[in-house]
Amino acid sequence: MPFSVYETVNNDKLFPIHVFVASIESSVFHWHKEYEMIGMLKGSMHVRVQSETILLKEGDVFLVNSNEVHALKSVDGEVALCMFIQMEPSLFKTGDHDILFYLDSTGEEQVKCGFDRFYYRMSKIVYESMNEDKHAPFRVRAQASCMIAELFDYVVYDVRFGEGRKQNEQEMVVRFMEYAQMHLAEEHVLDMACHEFGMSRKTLDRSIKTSIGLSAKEIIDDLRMERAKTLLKTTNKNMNYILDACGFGSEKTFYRLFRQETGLTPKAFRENGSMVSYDSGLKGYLDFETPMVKGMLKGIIDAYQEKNHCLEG
Amino acid sequence: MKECENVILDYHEKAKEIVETLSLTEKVFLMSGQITKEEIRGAIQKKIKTHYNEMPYRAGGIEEKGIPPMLFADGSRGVVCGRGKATCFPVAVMRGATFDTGLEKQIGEAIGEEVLEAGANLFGGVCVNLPYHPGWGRAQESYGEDPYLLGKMGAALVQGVQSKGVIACVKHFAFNSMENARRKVNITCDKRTEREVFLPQFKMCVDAGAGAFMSAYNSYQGVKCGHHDYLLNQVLKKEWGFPGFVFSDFTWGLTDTVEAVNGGLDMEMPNTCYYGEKLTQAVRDGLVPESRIDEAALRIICTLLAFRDKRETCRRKKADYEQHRALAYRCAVEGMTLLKNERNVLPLRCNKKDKKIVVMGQLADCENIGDRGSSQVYAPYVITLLQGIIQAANGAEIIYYDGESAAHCKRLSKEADAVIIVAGNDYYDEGEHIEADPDAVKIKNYGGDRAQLGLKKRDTEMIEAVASVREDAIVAIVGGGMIIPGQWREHVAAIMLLYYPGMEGGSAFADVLFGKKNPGGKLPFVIPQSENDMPQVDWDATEQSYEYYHGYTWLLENDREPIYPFGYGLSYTKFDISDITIRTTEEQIVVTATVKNIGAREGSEVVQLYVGAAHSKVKRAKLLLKDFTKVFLGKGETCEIHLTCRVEDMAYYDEQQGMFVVENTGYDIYVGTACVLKDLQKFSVLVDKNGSQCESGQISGFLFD
Repeated sequence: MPFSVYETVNNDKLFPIHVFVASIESSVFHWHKEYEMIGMLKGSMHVRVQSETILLKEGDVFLVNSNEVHALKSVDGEVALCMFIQMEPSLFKTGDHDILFYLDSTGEEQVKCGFDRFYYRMSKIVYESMNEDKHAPFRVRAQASCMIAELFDYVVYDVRFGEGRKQNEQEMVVRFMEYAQMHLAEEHVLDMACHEFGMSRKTLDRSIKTSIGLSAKEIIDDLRMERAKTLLKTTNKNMNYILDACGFGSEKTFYRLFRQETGLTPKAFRENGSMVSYDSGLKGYLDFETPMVKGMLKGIIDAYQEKNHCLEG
Repeated sequence: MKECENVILDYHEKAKEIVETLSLTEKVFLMSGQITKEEIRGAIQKKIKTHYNEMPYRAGGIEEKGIPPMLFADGSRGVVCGRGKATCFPVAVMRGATFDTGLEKQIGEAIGEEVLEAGANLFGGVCVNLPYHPGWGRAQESYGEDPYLLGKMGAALVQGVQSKGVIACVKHFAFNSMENARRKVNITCDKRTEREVFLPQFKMCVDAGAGAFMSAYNSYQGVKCGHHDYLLNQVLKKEWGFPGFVFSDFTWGLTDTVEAVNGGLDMEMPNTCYYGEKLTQAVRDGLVPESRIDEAALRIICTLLAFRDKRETCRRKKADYEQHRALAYRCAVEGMTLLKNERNVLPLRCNKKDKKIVVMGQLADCENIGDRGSSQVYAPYVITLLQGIIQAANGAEIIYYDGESAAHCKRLSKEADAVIIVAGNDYYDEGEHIEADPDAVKIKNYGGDRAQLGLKKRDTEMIEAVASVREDAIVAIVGGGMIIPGQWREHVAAIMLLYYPGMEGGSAFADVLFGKKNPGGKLPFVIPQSENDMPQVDWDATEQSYEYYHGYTWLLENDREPIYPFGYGLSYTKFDISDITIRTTEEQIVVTATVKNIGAREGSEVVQLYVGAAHSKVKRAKLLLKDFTKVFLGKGETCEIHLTCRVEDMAYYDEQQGMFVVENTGYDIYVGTACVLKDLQKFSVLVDKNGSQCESGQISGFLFD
């Protein structure tokens, strides 16, 4: 499977944002330069970011910062339907610095305008982006511009300068994951990575853990599991091939981890389990049925406007 | 000292000859500005494209008679004229904190050169008003609360500016220490307060040769200062022998032709309203003697000629703006006042690649160089505090946050190697009072006096949030007036006062922060415990009396301890003062001492001389600053310093006799590095009845234990 850690995002060249609704099963840890706003339309989902796991439920909004390592995972048995708005950093700044927003409707930090304003704004953007009339792009851009202004106006943010910031732990995670992807089939990929980066296992674990809250081993297991699932669903390779290709080492480990993660044996998963197709280029983000989504968005927009006595905003 | 004054007087005959050839209309023409009222008002309210004083404001000038025009350039933190060129120095109060008259003179020279570059010949930025109450909105334009400090710094600026052939104008004469009510308030005070507290600094500027004076808006003893026969004619011109000319504070500085001109106001600025034709008519009607017009014209012509020739004789070099900016930087370093530095948390040592420094507070990230009234300087750039820190951080990660959410302040503080909080004021909080244009929709008034002297709630909450998670926070306070630090001061490690540090302030701040430079500032005002520890002022008053005591003299009189005393400021090094001896001559007391840098690096110290007269028959300040000197010493270096106080400077003003009188009594001489009674070394001297003739044997200096 071709695996790129960077998501491909199809941007409007004139106004670099990418808007879509998707139902999520899971995504591995990844990052991209775009800021990503997530709004939960239905169900619930875990976001793993900055060593925290956050549970988003219907109505929640969350912002993943530019180049921030994150992973998404639906809660067992629930369909998680999300709005995504990905925005290029160039929309936020011109200089060589990073802007970090702290928008999380499940957290303690409130925003002055209320989280529902962002939920509403996202719904408007998605709703307009689903319109096919030729003027819709103007409305999408207008709404997105308003949302960016509102992020600055109402959301806590800080600005980071200096070369130092590029050498932080997150950078280490990125390097580690790139390395792990390449050498996943090696059973002792962890020892190899330590050797490669010239650090002890302890140091490696510490620097990764402060950044995304997982040990190096857990990340490796995560990546192996994703690869195994893909191979099970998209190929006819036998179990031995798969456990070798994924570097599980022994059949026993493979079965144990697989059951832990999915509740199924690999064989049962191949027959019955659901698996996200990566073909779209957006790992784990699925298209959803349009008319239903439009109906939901309209409901959100109308409710907000009625509550706030506004027609446009 | 008298050099410039004499120069003006030298032109008396020549000017007189010219005056004799002038018609009444021509003479009157010299006596007012040529700007329209609409132009000036539009510029102040920022309704027109050109800013206030973008071009020099012109008055008089008759070419065929050889009379140059007066071309006014405002100040005081630099030259107001032009755009994107002038150097923005630290505000005057920060220059006061340098206690460095030599540096102020150099700044004066730089300003003089820039005034000429701007095409002007007069600098209107020598402000020596005494901030009677520290809430005065324009305290930033003046050098601090002490008359002697004000006078010395003002005189240094006058000398620097005038050395380039530019007339220095001293303002606002007098008692202008309230902003909001400046156009309506009538000030009263007793004669001793007038002569000992509010006027000496003006006299020192006259003695330094100042060529022009600007009157104040407010009234004094029921008479508008622009009409004030006593202040302008009797005190300034007659008693002090001021040879130059007096013009009005702008537009509203006079309200009656006859009263103003007979009161001694030589020129109306910057527009012609009460002078011009009205003045000509008043002379024709016999309400104003023509001799008075001749006197005004003579003063104006004398001064303009003297300085024109001076400009021609002193080799004029092109202004070196780069050098001026270096001066602005140096001044900012020398003025930064370190008030607290527990466990030597400063200088910071974390400007390294793997370190994280949090800079908090929206004032860190804006061009905060002072008020936006008539002293606004349109500099080519301003290094903000944040920019300065980023430049000096050596690749350390700098995280900037505006500080609004306490939770986020705490979150950031936990992960950082150092937290620097920038708190304080900007041009909305203080400065020249600019009323919002009534036609505009909801534009805030800005500037004016400060009703509260503490930090804003926004700032206090930010500091407390940081202090709740770490003990080593560094607080930088920005503002042009005295700010009382709240209880939070107990919970932070370092406090530094930055005033408005000018266009290079950010670089200077960062270099001080990381220890490349050693801060050299001393408080030019006392910081009391509370807003009750000072004379009270009604900022909206139409009547206000000024009492004898204010600032540190008020605290001493009322036995209140300040938080930080006048003259106080820490350094990264330490000094020892020893071998203090007192010697007397017929006219003065001379204190000699040895200063040694006993710390680990170079630095500066300001040695201060205070005098008290505990047994005086009149009420007196317990002690008053009479001299100071700033020394720069390398590690381990020693130098000898001399401080002097003339016997006549120990006098009080006798209201019955209407003159300064030296008392036959014992005087206490205090020497030290801040105005703290218990820390100052005290000596006693006796002065005999005739003061100036005291025999040295009778002035005995001995150390009190």
